[in-house]
Amino acid sequence: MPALSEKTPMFFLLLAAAVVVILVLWQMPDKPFKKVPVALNIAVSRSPLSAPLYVADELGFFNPQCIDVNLQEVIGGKMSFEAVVNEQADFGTSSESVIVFNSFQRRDFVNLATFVQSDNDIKIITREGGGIFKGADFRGKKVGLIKGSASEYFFSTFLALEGVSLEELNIVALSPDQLPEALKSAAVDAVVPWEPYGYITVKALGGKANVIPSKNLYTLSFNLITRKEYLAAHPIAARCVLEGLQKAIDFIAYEPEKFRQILQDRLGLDNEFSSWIWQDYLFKLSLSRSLKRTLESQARWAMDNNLVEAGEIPNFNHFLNTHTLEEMNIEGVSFNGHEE
Amino acid sequence: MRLRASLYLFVIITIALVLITGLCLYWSWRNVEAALVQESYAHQVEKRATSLEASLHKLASHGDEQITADWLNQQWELSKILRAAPKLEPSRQLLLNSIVAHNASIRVMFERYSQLDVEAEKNTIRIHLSEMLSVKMEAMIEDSLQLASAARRDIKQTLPRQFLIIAAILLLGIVGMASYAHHLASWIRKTLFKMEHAFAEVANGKLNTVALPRSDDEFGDCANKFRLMNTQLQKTTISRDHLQKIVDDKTAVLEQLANTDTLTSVSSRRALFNRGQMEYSRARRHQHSLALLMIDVDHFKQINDKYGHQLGDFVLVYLCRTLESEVRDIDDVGRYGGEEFVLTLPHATMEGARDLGFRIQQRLLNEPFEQRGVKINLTVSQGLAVMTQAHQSFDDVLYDADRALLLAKQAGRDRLMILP
Repeated sequence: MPALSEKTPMFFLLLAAAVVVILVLWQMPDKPFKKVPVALNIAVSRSPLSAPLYVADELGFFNPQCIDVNLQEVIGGKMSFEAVVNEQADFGTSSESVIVFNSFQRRDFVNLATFVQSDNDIKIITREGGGIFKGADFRGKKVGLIKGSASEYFFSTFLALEGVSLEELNIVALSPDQLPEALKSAAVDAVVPWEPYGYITVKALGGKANVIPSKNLYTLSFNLITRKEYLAAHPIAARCVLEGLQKAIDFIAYEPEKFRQILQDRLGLDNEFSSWIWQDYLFKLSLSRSLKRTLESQARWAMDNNLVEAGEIPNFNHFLNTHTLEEMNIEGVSFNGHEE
Repeated sequence: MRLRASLYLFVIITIALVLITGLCLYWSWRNVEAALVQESYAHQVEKRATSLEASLHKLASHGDEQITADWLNQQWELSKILRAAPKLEPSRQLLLNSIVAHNASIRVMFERYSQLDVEAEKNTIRIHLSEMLSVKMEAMIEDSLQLASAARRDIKQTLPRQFLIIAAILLLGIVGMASYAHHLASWIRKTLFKMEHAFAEVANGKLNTVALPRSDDEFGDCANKFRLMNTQLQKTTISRDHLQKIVDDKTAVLEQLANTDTLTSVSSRRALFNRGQMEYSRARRHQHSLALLMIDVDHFKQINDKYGHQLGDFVLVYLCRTLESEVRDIDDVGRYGGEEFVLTLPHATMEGARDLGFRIQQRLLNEPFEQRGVKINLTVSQGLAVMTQAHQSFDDVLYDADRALLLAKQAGRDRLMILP
């Protein structure tokens, strides 16, 4: 039987190409496109909470045609926040507590998205033999923590559950990287660090550290913040940052082992650290009503416990911007940005 | 490719197309089913979490051991549901992990909440913890709603996408199969046409003009056998026309043999009578004359006895050549038998026939037979009869010619007699 005519394969090729083009166009999402990439700085808190940013930077998930990202590592969300508001960085990573504390003083920043939560990031660590096992034992003790941050908020609620207030002990304001040495040198009786400084503290004490159980008591969220005026001037850059974060979050979900290695390399820590923190972190993009309620609740707590100067509860509608996430069709947006 | 292989390929491709479509449909069904299970599960979780939140509000307003027990029971039920989660892809598992984490938190937080002194003056921590519990449950509801929404989105995306994929596969497959079937049918039709034409050529005897193309398929096998048959036919078969020609030629030869006297080459007795009857009928029909001249060699027996039969044969041949040279083209010389000959003379009058007889005699006289040193002065006796109304047939005329010959013999030979 003679071969098919020459026209037949060409016809099929054209038909197949047409079908493929239709499928691709149908599936292709609507993407913003900027020819000249915007150079920007992100102040990244040196913490496992910042993992999506590390992964995005490591694997090139930030669209190079849109933004040219430079990560500036800082110690803690508080410093990250300050870098942003002082225009040393364009974006930053901060806990909701930092947002709460600063919302009483300024209104020039917004939270674009929560990208991670953890119910065991902050640890309360004492020395073995220090006689501190529960909240009541902290009375009269020196405790090193980071003022105006989740460290302070969490510790205050922990004490309150045991009927103890912060005034009943000595609070020593330190930066996160100072806490391990402070406890080791007995400058303080306890510290309230977040990771990796909890791990570093335990390692520094060489097995003589005691971590007071506090998992599930407090769920910390980490958020991407920026200045309002920067967002107004660079809305596409903001979207590109969030898109890079989303890709990184997807990568973390699908390639957990590779993610572990990247995090270890970035934080300069070992396998033991990964095991220490494993499954304490949940990465997902959202901006939810529960976040707003959390902010309001923490604001009330801060006021009631004199953690901030007296005033009114801020209107957190001003500090939550859902537009970018809504443009990306992220389903974790349950907060209506137009609520009053 | 051979036809059978092509048909097998066609069947295999059709089966493959059906299988692929079936697989796509099965995959779609599995995806949709998984999404429906996921959605149902998420709604279950949401329902429980909503119920928990409502119970917490009740507890906050009027703390009660029963309500506390109910809340704990509901939380335990929710934990059971969370432990029986369906298999989810990693991005969805993330939401479930978040719900599980929140569930663990609310348990721990509730235990602490329950331990707090309700009646204490400053119960800000209780209020705060109650708020955080409520926020946690709201977060759980948000996550379960997001899980349900993701499932619905999967369904919404899967169905049109799968429809498009299946439609594309079916379209490509149908177009491909139709094209291939058309090609196959076209090839079969052309092949049959060529075979039909070849058979027609053979039927018309045009064996040399049949030409079938060569190929390595079933048609090629058939064509090869056809060519072989054709070759054999060319070798062993004569066309009808050619056969007819051969038959005609052979018939002519046979007729020629049947109508010719082998010794003298004049008409045989059979041919003599056939010709004679034909001339008689013609003469009767057209009313023209017919004369018969019967000639007998005088003393032929003696010639045979003296010189031998072979010389006698030469004498007869010599005589026939002489007779043929004297007659007209329309006349016929036939051997009646032995040494007797009959000249059939259509359109000949008595006088003309008689003159002919005299010329024959004169010629024999002037030109004696000479062969092998033997010279014989041949004489012949001749009897002449001319057709009259009294003759009813050729035989009648011949009879009269014979009687005239007899008279010539009785009168002394070497003469011509006419029956009175």
